[in-house]
Amino acid sequence: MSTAVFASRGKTPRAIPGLAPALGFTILYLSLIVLIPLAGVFFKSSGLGVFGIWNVITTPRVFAALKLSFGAAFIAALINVVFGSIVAWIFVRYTFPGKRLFDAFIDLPFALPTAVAGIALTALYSPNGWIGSILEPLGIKIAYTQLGVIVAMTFIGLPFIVRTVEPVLREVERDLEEAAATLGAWRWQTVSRVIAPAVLPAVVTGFALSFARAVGEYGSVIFIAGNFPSVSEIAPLLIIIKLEEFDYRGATAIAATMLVISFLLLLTINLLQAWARRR
Amino acid sequence: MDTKKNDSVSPEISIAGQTQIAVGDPADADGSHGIPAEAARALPPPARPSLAGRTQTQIAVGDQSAFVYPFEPLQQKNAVITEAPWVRRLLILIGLGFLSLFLLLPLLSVFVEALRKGLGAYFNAFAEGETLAAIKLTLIASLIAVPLNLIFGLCAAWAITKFEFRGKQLLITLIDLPFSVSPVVSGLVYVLIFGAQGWAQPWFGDHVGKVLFAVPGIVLATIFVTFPFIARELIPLMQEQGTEDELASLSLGASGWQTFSRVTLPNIKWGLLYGVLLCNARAMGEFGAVSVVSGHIRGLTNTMPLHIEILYNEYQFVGAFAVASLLALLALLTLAAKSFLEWQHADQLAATRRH
Amino acid sequence: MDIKIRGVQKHFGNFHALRGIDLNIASGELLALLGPSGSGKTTLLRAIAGLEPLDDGRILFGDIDATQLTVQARRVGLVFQQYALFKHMTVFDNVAFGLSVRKASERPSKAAIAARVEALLALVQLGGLEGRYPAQLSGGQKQRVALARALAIEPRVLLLDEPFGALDAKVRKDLRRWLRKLHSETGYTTIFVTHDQEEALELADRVVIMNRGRIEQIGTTDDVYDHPQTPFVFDFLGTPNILAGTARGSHILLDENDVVLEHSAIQPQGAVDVYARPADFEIVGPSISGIDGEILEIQRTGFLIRLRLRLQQTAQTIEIEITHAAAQKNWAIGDNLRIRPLRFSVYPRAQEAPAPLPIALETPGLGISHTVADHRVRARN
Repeated sequence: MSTAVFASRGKTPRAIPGLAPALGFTILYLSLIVLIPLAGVFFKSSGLGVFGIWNVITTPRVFAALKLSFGAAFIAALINVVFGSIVAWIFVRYTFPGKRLFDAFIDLPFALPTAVAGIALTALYSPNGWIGSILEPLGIKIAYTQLGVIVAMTFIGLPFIVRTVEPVLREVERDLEEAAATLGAWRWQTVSRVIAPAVLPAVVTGFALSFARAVGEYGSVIFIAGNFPSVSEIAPLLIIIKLEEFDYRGATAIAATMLVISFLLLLTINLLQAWARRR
Repeated sequence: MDTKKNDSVSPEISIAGQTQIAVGDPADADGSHGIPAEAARALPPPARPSLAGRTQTQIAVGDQSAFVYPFEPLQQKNAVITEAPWVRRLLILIGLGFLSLFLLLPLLSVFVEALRKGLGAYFNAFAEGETLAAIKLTLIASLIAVPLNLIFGLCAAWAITKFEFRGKQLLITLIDLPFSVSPVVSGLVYVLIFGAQGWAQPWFGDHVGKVLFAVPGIVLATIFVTFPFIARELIPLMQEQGTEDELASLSLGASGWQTFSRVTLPNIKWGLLYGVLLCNARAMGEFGAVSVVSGHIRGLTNTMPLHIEILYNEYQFVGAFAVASLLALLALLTLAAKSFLEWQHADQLAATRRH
Repeated sequence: MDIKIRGVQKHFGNFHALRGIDLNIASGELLALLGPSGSGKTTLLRAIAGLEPLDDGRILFGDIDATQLTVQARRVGLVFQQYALFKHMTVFDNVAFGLSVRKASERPSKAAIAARVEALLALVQLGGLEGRYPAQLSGGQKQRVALARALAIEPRVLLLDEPFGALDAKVRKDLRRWLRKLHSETGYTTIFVTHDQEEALELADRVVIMNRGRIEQIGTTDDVYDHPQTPFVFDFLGTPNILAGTARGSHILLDENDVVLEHSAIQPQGAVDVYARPADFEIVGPSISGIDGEILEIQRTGFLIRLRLRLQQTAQTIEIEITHAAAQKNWAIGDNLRIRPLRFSVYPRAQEAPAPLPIALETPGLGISHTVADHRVRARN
């Protein structure tokens, strides 16, 4: 890999110094901290073989956990697409009191430790919490159910959508909207046929980022989920349980499955961004 | 119109202060609101009593620019590129309602729960030795992780933004990798390496000491999880700034190091500061990865987030939320600093636009 | 469709962008709005399109009060400076957009839309590019797609904002000629905004010269070029030499030069500025009254010889252009010449506060004579 990186080192001396030490340290540090350890997981899981992994993840409890992690993450990302897009829209297009304050708070899930978010959400949505006590008489239970998992995942995924869509929406030229209006398009036609297609790649990217983050989320989910096996137990928690039982093979198999899916997602995001740039 | 094209002075030009022009009343049923100015000149305002009472018909003689027409007030339906007010209000309501429900309320509840039993109970929570040990370990871990990631971030951003080389996109993707790995998996990675059956443990165990279920493991996991933050903040910023400043500095005889410290660093200091703050917030708050490698040994390998979990599971809610409130304050501080930096930045942008 | 603009006022905060614009545009006319940036020309165009709500005044399309119409209902074909093509749509979909967003009851059938789009693309010479995306087109092609898209809705008026501004010189020339042809074929009332006087003068039936939110002059190319009514117009259409003079009766005495220029009846008196373009000077012999100057610089181009002269009496530096035929081969730096303005305009000295009375004319007997009797006197602010 490093040979490929250095291959283009040219015939003429570079004007700016420092490529070799900077790039050297970058690659060394990246390799030590990230690449070699991650390769270790694949090395370890390759010892299990595809069938070994398949056998682990098709056990009912593991399968239920994976299904919950991916399913809830998908629903949470969808919720965030809807509300995150609205939030991005009002921040780009409108003025209202408290805008700066709310704008600062959008990044809260980035900055707030997940364990703090987890216990706070649980306190809110548990049957005697502020929101839980309102919903309880209606027969809606959020804490200690799959709904709770979705709520926590929505919390941590929100900024990904807002912060991805916002700059793209800001870049949609007013010219385009004015052009559509002079051509006779009503506002909703302009929004749905001119603006929406322009921000669609950003929305999809934001969705993927939010989804990827939610799939692997642990801290904010485990408190509110209740962690009932096969019901509200998420895959990362199951990895920890397997580790505590010294079932390294089982833990590795789940981890490898999640890694592969995450890498595929990352690849998709990068392709999407490249595709969006090309247009 | 009787405009003769070769008439060198166009009759359409109204001569302010010299001629009073009354143009057709748009309310006229016969649609005469387009009557030519020439015709209108023949009809000075007093000749049109219907207009006499209107406030808009007065023509200010002294002020030549105040050229007022007897028009009805304009009723323009020109909401070209915005929505009807009720749509706007509804969207703002939905957006802010969602933010309040999902962001503000949880934050608020942290402080409310922490203070539920009064200030005394709140501060007592910090008097415990185990809590203090957890705070200390958290500080140590972030004090090691953040500077290392800072150096890495600077090196990576310097290499990526100031040079062209093959495999750059791959490098950027790999730097982003820890973002897309579940924190639990990040922790597992180190368990597999340094655990009882780990492939590096025999050597490390003999030469370095215990990694897993000890401070080094916690530091490693923290580094892994917060690895991309500073690089991610710097790369787009430095990409935007290009290499012109550096080339100018070098051409003036500055050394590479002088160029970096006196040209590049001042250019990126605010982005760098924000990256450091965010990295620090995440380092102190990391839960999943640290949870896997720590072994939860009270007073020894418990960080603040792990301590929150233990207290919470033992139903010591005030204690749990008290520790949580410290981390929430840190988060608020980070957000405040970020907003402040962004506003400063926006002011600078506005200043450059004004010129 | 003819367009009448009446007393249009527009403010942007404290900036008074349009200060009472009155203008009539005949049906089928090709009109240029010409002016420096900030003169209000683009604001006026956008106001006609309905994109800028007015503070006061009316805009009429024929007998319809367009001021009361929404942008959508105005049916104007506006071509944006940067084209504003929808990037995610093909050329075909861009052109079809205006028709496809109509209410179902007014929308042509799919086949009819397709036929119209094909016809328009053929008209703008882009047949075969239906499936391309805007990113795959050259600047000139984008411009023509934008034009076809605007024409698709059968606009009441075609509005072009700096139509050639984003194109390189060669494409610009071709497109200019082509647009002129297209206009004569389609006959749409067309208004275009430009800051390029050459473009305006070459293309338009009439030119509206704007400055600081007001109309300075309206006229044909010849009108505005030969009879600039204000120093601003003269200045904007070329780089004039400004000579100080004193007008007495029908004579102007160029200060400190003892040169007597004759001009006719209606005229400013007293201190005046004489504006003359570099090309409107002639070299005269010592027996004729003229201005003496010393050659500072000689620049030979294809058709012209450009001379920079320092006037002996005033030490003012002026630039003149002489054709090769009229020039002497052996001029050298330091030689003395006697020159005389051939065509010029006289305006009251600028610093004088009372309403100045500008007038444009030529020296009788020396140039082609124009009557100046019907010159109107116009107040200038």
